[in-house]
Amino acid sequence: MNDPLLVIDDLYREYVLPRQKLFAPAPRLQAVRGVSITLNGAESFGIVGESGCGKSTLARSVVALEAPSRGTVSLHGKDLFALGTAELRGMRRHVQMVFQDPYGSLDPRHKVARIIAEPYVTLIGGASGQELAEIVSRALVDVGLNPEDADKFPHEFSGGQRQRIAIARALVTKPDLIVADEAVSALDVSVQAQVLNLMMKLRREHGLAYLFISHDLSVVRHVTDRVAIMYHGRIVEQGDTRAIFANPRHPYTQMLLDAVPRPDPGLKKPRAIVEDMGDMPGHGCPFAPRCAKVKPSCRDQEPDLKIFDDGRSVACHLA
Amino acid sequence: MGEIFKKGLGNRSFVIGGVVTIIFILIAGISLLWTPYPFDEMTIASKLKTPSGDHWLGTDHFGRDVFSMMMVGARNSIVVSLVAVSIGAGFGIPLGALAAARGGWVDEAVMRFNDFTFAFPALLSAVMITALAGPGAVNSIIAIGIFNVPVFARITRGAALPIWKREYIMAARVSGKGPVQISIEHVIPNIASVLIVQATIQFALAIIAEAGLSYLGLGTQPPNPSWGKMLSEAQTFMFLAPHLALFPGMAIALMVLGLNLLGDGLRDVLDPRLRRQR
Amino acid sequence: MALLSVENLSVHIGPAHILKDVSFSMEKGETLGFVGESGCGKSITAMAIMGLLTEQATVSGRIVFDGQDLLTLDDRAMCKIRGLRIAMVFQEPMTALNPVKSIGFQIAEGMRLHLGLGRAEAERRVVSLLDRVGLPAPRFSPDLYPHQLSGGQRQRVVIAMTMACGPDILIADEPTTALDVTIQARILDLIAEVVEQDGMGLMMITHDLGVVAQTTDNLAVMYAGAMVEHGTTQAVFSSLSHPYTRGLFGAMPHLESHGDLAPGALLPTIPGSVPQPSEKISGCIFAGRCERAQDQCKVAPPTLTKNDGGHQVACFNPWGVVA
Repeated sequence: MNDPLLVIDDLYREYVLPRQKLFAPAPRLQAVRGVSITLNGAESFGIVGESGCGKSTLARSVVALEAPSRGTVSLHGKDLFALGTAELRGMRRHVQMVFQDPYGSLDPRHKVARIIAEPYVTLIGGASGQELAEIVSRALVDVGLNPEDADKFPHEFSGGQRQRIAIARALVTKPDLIVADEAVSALDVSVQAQVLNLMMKLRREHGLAYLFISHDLSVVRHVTDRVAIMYHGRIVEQGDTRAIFANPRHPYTQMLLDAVPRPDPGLKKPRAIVEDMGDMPGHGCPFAPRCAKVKPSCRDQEPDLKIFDDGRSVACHLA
Repeated sequence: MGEIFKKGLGNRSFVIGGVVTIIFILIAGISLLWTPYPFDEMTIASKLKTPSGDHWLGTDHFGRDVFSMMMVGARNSIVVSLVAVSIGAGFGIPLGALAAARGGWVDEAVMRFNDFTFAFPALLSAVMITALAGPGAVNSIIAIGIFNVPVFARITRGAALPIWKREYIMAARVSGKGPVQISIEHVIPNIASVLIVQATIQFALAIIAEAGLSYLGLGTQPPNPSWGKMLSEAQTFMFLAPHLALFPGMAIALMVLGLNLLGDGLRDVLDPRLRRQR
Repeated sequence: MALLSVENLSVHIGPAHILKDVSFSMEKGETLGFVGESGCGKSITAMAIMGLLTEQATVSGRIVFDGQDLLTLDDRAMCKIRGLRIAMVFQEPMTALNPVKSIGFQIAEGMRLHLGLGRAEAERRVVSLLDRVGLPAPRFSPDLYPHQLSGGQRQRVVIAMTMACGPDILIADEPTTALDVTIQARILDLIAEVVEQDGMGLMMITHDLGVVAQTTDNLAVMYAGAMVEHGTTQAVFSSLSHPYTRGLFGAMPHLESHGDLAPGALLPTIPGSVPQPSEKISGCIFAGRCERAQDQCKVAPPTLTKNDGGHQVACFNPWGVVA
């Protein structure tokens, strides 16, 4: 398959905030500002950033939960937001999502069988009770659980097991792309390792592509091929994961890497971390107030994402 | 289900309220098959008798057996209240669910309808409606039912709104489900406990409303007995035969108390269970 | 004599044995980390020290602080300890502050309660504390309310509250888990600074091996309610003697190339899962999942013993010291 699986083209998403003054226009929040990503089949693409960077909004646009203000999201070449309801439903089977909270993403009043079967029943349908039971059984075994678990309720499982159930649910329609929105962030380290291994195994077995959204840099480094670093609604650096982490070219990426505490007591690096004090300049590079390498030109104009020969993109005047 | 019941048995309010409510419902049910005396049988010779072996709660000024009248009165009160609350819930819950699911102008419209209906004092308006449309059980049901609709709409909307933000709802949307299906399959089952508790409260209020309407002669019509009517008729005999006012009054108070206790107990039993996540 | 000495601390809630015979001590000014996963008992230990356990908990053992056994004190006596001698920072900055009281009020609260300061003096100190935690006037006035601050700024206010009465020990229970990574770095730096300047002891409770490596000199590893390894942070990390410690370390993905684990390869995991606290296990609590388990491990639980590396491991067959 040579055509890209997912193409996000110049995506903007603006929210209208509650009015502060009665007669002034309502303030607006630009959660995503001009994001473009191309994802191929069976590729694992990471999106990294801190809270407020727009990554969750981006995730919701990819699974067509929220329409963008501008720009397109195309899956298998079809613009998801230009489709009619029935057509969009037909496309949904190709992209599914795994959420962060293992305790909130499963309906506590439904049995596991019903939870897992839900996407299949809604998007594909036409299966008899027997066939459905088999699909659910196979999905449970695929994620390392027992077929008997189908009859239980979510509260009977641990966090890691619930996340496996959520993954099983995401697999039943045999999607090409799974969006994992902080899918392992709420799990203990050893459970996280088990679930990550499961996700990598499933990727190999089913040829899945992942859009892996996380704030945890070490996890992203381990499971993704390419990564985009987001800051304040934009991508500031993008490229091969290992290359970026070994040699970051955007000051924010460098700051992120410096900020992560290393599990090595002998390694106490002096770190120049500047906190986000919330004073966002109206123009110029949004990172300028915190940047160690800032120059006057940085405050005048916001840098565009420049593409370099080695496949790296960086949005910085000094790169 | 079973574990809720077991937990309920440990809760005093639930047990007492439940027992009282069941006793009244049983009495009402039995009245369909049997009462000590036909409730409308007048034996003038035995009028205004105090409670005795023959007449457990005495007789009224027409010689009718008070206990039999109370039994049938219970049945009438319960039926009117039950149907009225069902009407309220039947219209109110879908309205509230719709408002929470759609948001936007639909939400606004439902809320303004609610505000409009709340602006009218419920009991007085029920009086006005039955006075204009004609007294009787059916019109009482309609009058009480109308004012139950905004209560259920508001509480359903309030409980449903935070549910829509939960991740399992987002998962259902990613699975392609529409808002109506999601409301029915995911939202309502998860707010059921709130609605059940509210229903018991509304039931208690409806009993009082029905008694009030009957007291004024606007509710259940004679010869059908009702507690409210019995109260109003007993007024003339307050000093001669106080038991005529005492028993229906106590019955109303007890039934309402029982329902309120049941509602409190249900809330304790049902809500913390939802909080348990692991 | 140690500032804090915990001896054979055990906590039961109903049938669940959630803390099993934990013993350790802390000197004045010592930084001690408690690392482990959910249910390992690290937070329970802190709660037990602060006397904040639920009423249904049965506690046995001794918690000797400055000569007094805290478990024998009633709530009124414990109130004089909490905030004044031992202070605590919790995980959720969003809910740790009272939304309807100004931050100045909340910082001053402890001082006025414990130190009996008058309003003017308390206000002065509040301003100076805010400055020390990186929220200088005039931008950050004591009259601000919590909702006007970000998560990181709120956590700084909480730290100011803990410092206010000059406690001997600061317990930090997952203080940065809910924060972004750059803010986390700054908060950890602040805690380290405060602890060093005021000579406070620090109990750092976290699941994050990186945090504990960077912020503590000594380390205790907890598993299913028991302490399985205890020593200097340096020694524990270089030897990884207890099979659970080694397994935990191995299961983490790393930012730098680490040993022979290529990115994309399967992470080495610890098979099985943590036992339920109500499960009765004879023998070592980790034996069921341990690759080095021997027959004696199933008979009786091992106790913390000094190994040749100079730190303590609760294991019959620990890994040897690795250079």
